[in-house]
Amino acid sequence: MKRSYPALAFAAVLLIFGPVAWRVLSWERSRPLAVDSNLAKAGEVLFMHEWQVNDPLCPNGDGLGPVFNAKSCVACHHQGGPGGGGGLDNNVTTFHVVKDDGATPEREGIIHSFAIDDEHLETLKHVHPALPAVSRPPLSDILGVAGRGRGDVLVVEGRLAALLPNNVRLSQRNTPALFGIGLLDLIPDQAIIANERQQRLRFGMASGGTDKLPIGRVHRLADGRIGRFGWKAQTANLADFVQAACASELGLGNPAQTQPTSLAQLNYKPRGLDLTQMQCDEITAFVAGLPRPKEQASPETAARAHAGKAVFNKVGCADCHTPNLGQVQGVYSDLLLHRMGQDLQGNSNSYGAQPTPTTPRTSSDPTGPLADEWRTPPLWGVANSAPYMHDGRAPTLEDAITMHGGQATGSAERFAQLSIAEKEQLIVFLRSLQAP
Amino acid sequence: MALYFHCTCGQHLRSDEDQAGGFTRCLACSRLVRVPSLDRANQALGIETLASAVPQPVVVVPVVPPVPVLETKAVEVSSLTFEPRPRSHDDSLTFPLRDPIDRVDFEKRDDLRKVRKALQDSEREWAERRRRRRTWNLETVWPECLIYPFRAWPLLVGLAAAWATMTAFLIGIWPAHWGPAEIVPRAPLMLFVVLLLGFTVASLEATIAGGTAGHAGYVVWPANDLGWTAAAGVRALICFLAGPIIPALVAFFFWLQSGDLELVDKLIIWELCLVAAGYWTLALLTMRQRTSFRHASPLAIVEFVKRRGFRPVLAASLAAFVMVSIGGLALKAVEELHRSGQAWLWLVFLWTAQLFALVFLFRWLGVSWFYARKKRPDSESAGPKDVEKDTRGLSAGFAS
Repeated sequence: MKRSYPALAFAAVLLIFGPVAWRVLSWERSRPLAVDSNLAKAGEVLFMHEWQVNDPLCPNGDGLGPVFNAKSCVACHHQGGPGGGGGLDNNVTTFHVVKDDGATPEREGIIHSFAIDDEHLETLKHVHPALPAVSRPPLSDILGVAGRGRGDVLVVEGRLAALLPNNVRLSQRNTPALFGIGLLDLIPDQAIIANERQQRLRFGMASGGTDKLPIGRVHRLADGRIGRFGWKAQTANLADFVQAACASELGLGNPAQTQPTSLAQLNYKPRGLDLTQMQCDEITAFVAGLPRPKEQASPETAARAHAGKAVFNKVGCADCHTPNLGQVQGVYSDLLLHRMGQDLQGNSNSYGAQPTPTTPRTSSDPTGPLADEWRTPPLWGVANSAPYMHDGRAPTLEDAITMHGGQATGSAERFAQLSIAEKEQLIVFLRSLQAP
Repeated sequence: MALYFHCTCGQHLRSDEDQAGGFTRCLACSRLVRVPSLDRANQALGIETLASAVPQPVVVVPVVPPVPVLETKAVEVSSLTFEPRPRSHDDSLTFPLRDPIDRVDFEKRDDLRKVRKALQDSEREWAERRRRRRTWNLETVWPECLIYPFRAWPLLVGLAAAWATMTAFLIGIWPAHWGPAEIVPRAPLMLFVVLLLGFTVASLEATIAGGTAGHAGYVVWPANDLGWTAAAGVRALICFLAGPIIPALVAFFFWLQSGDLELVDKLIIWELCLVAAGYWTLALLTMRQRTSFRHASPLAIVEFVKRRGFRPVLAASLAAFVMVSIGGLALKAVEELHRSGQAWLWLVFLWTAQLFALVFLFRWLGVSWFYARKKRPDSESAGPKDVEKDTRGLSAGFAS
């Protein structure tokens, strides 16, 4: 006599089809970019607004400062229009004091260029007594002159290099362009992770983070989210990125991040938050609605730009500067962290969601980016965002390509071996990636 | 006098002298095998006959087998009976079906007697050796099949080392970009992969064949039979392309696109891989003794499962479980191989574990089929229903 086991059969069917049904229902689908125009208009006002101490737009807080790098967003984001990148003058200096002898606590943060008064003004001396009392060291003082490219480029150490104690590292960050950044916010995490897996497959399932193969790695933040904004991919979404910038660059405390405490006045307490959540949302809406860059070449250069795109792929640039990511076309980035070599080291990701500039990140975030790990910057609009690299050390696109090291060494070497005509085609192609 | 020879599956066989030059069926793999001529046996002993005076194709005919043999009988293929047929001595391109013993000169008869005596002595000697070597008997309960892979350890560890080395080699030549310029120069190297895959599959087929024939006392393996190895490699690829490739590809793209894997994603990938590996194993079992690729079709597999009962499904499911589990660990080892050469040892261990498990399962399957066949009065004429009935009846007998 045949016996039936309905419960067993049901359990088997559930086990087989349950996971599939669950995943189909919960699959993260791409969303259309929906920007509230009223919010964006209000945000534009705030983006252009020159903030002051005790600003009337900050009834609950102290307004600008006490330490800041600029008085408005547009002061730095101005190349090619509001929302663009910034020049060397807008660079931000960061420091990292490594714990070496047990006596010095590990800390890192930003040395802000300006303060509301001299008492709050931060200088390098606050980082280490051996350093001069300078607030805005030029990049050449930190880096040296003539760049630190490979080959026979003469490298002259910067003025500060000789003074720098062994356990102190200085670095700078150049202002990134914000065009099309709202689209980056919409890319599903799966697309970024898929890119990481494709790169691993391409190199025989090697893991990311090697210093030779161009295999990027996703930056998973402490809360499990995927980092995608900032030079170190230290922020997961645009709203956090905007609020971190408001606090770190303008000293405008907000619900997501408190304003930085001056290294010169550690006891200063702000009386309240400078920005409301609504103001933050308005600025975020404006930034999200910034138009995306365009890929356009003049009729005379169109053929060379087209050929240059083929060279771009041939050289291996497209391994990391992936043309399309998710549903976003022409972004030329994989949003992954890549090791760029000894010459392109910079202290770690202090410019983020941490409330104070003195929190040690490297020890508490062991999976965080290494000193030479950088997120692949999107190349759209690259024609209008000079200077290049994280600190703007490369004045031209050709310099930027040559300075690639670490995982990109192979591509840089292949670029060096190109004929002059091919190099020119590649540069023409890059110049066709223009701000809107 | 008996003639000793071997099948392409490695099985050593014995036939009576009067079958020389005819055909017989291998009891292990059921292939038709040509019984060597008496003249070839003479030649192997260094005794010249009239037939050996003409050029002969080179064949390997071990006069005395190193392992136990199965006694065969002449078979009829289609409507043709492979009885001795007349052939001319100058027909050097045709393998002699039977040597013209009756044409041997009268004065050579003494030599013929010497040959017979030498063969008889040799047979006695090897029978004694076989008796001494036969230290283990056919398994009667399934746990005894666990011992079989340990007896085959040199073969399995060697295969595992070959696979680990092949993996390291493939990583070394892995192209960063998959264009014609990168793939074409590397394509010939893939032949080695197919051959290694074929040798592995052929070893598993031999394991089943040995079990099905009720062999004990030695390990059956493909040895240097390149034809069998290549055919098994092609069979394995065809079996994969015939169906398992679909769930495998779905699992691959799902893994690629599903972001950070949650438990539900891991379950989906796990299930798809199990289906692919299980389907592949069943297709291999179905095609094992076949020559046509249509036997890898889903319908043929269903028919095979209907005919053979639950055992192939159980064996394929367990084999799939082993392959997927160890495959997941092997991916980690491959990742580690990029950092350190020591991961090669880790890969060897994983491959060894996987092969041990698969050989155990295939041995169990083969032996269980042997007992099922033994219970049937006429294995050739038994229909699917009879087979099914016999298999059910044996299930208790073998497993308990």
